[in-house]
Amino acid sequence: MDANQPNNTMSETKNSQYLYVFRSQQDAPQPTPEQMEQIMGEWMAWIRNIREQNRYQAGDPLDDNGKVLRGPKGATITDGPFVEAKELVAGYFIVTAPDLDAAVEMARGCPIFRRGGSVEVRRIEHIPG
Amino acid sequence: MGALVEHIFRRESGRLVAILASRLGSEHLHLAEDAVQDALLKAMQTWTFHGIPPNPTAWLLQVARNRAIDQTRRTQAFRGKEADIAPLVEEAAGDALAVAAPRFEDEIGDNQLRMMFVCCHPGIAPEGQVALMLRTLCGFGEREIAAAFLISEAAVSKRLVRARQCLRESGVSFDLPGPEELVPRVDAILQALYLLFNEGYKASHGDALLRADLCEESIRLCELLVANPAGDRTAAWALLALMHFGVARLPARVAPDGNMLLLAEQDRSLWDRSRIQRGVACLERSGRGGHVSKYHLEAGIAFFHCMARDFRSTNWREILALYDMLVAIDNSPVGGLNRAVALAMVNGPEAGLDAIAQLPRAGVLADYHLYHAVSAQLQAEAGMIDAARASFRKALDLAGNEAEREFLRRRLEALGASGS
Repeated sequence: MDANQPNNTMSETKNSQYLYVFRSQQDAPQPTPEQMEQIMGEWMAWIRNIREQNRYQAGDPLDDNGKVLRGPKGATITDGPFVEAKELVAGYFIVTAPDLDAAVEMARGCPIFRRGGSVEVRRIEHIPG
Repeated sequence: MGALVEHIFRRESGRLVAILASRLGSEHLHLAEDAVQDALLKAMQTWTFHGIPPNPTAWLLQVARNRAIDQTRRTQAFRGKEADIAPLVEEAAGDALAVAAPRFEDEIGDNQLRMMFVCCHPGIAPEGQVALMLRTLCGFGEREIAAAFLISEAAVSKRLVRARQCLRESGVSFDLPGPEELVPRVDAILQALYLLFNEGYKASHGDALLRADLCEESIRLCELLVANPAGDRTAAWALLALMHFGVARLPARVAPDGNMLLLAEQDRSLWDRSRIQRGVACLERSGRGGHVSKYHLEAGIAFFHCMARDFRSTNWREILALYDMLVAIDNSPVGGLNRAVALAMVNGPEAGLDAIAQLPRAGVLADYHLYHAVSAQLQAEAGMIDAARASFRKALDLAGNEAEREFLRRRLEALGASGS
């Protein structure tokens, strides 16, 4: 993607992709409109920061509604929002980083921690070939 | 990705609730509020990644419509009535979205004006009216209303529940009141806006930014009111003038160290001249008609303060004349106290103290810290230092917040140095 930036080629080859999975507290109080603006501003600033390092690849929020399938042939289906879960997967990012430690370090800036949420960081395994 | 417009969520909340509620009817106000809250949450998640859409109101309206229909399906309270409400929601959103761009803003202004009349329905207690306006028209959360009024969230919640219940039970209409009903209904709105403004404007307590927001919101709503023929009344223009004159002087009320400053101590170069000009323009509009309201008199007093180069050269005679009229139409002990201050500036501190001694219902004032603070100030000026000390101490005992106590402590200390 950065073909016109020869300096990056080396780090490009060394970088791996990492998945951030964001989970937020289900029972957190609903933010007021003013707090929503603040939260959105914090996320935008964080994403901008990752973009500026050329490490942001993709990301999306997830709708609260959904279904969970379980059991033989996925016959047991639970409708979301999933009240039995304390945390709800709220969205994901795909970023690039040289190693897990660097990906973790970058995740520390996530605004989700201010409201009791969590970020799971996982390296995406690519099958060579 | 566009830059964040300040208070965009609060603003959109106020617009959306008015649009939906004015079509769904006051009995479904809660449904409108919930659908808008859901739509805002969705916006917060989506806009973060994709930026704010060019027409956020239309974007939110689409989402709120879907949420409202979902909700009528899911909620027990709507069971069985779903068939009636879902088409209503569909029609409400469709209607609003069909309004072409240039008329869209007028349409929103019109909806918000109707909402204002609904919020200030005479069946709702004044503090409930103010809370409901902040919630529905200004997009404040219960947490913020509680912080602004220094009451608990539970108390705010109760006020809002009662207000919504009144609307539901009385089936309050979103139609503008007819000509015979219009004057008292507009008066009720003015009274609520006056309350809202004073809550933001009164002596420094709580969150200063939040309180400044209350002042700005009351100005915005008052501007909305006078922009419509239904609310274009001289008293409304006078209230708007009073608000501008007040907000213009806000930046000078607090010293850099956070201490409150007396009018006499304020750096008048910090007053916002363009605001004062807007106040003057509103005051001129308010003069087109014979009726003189208390807002006219208060705006007049604020005008003379704004025009004065310094405290000493203030036109105290005019201010005293206005207070005389104010006391004549609204004989409140607090108004009388303010008049005594103006009288002291014209005829000396003893005259002010005499006026305080003759105040009607002085018993009401005995627990009011400013009564003792004003007395103390005048006693000090009259050389009655011991009496002044005692009055300041009484005021200190009664003052409700730390900023005011600090202010009074400084006065008392100054007295110690010069008195002995």
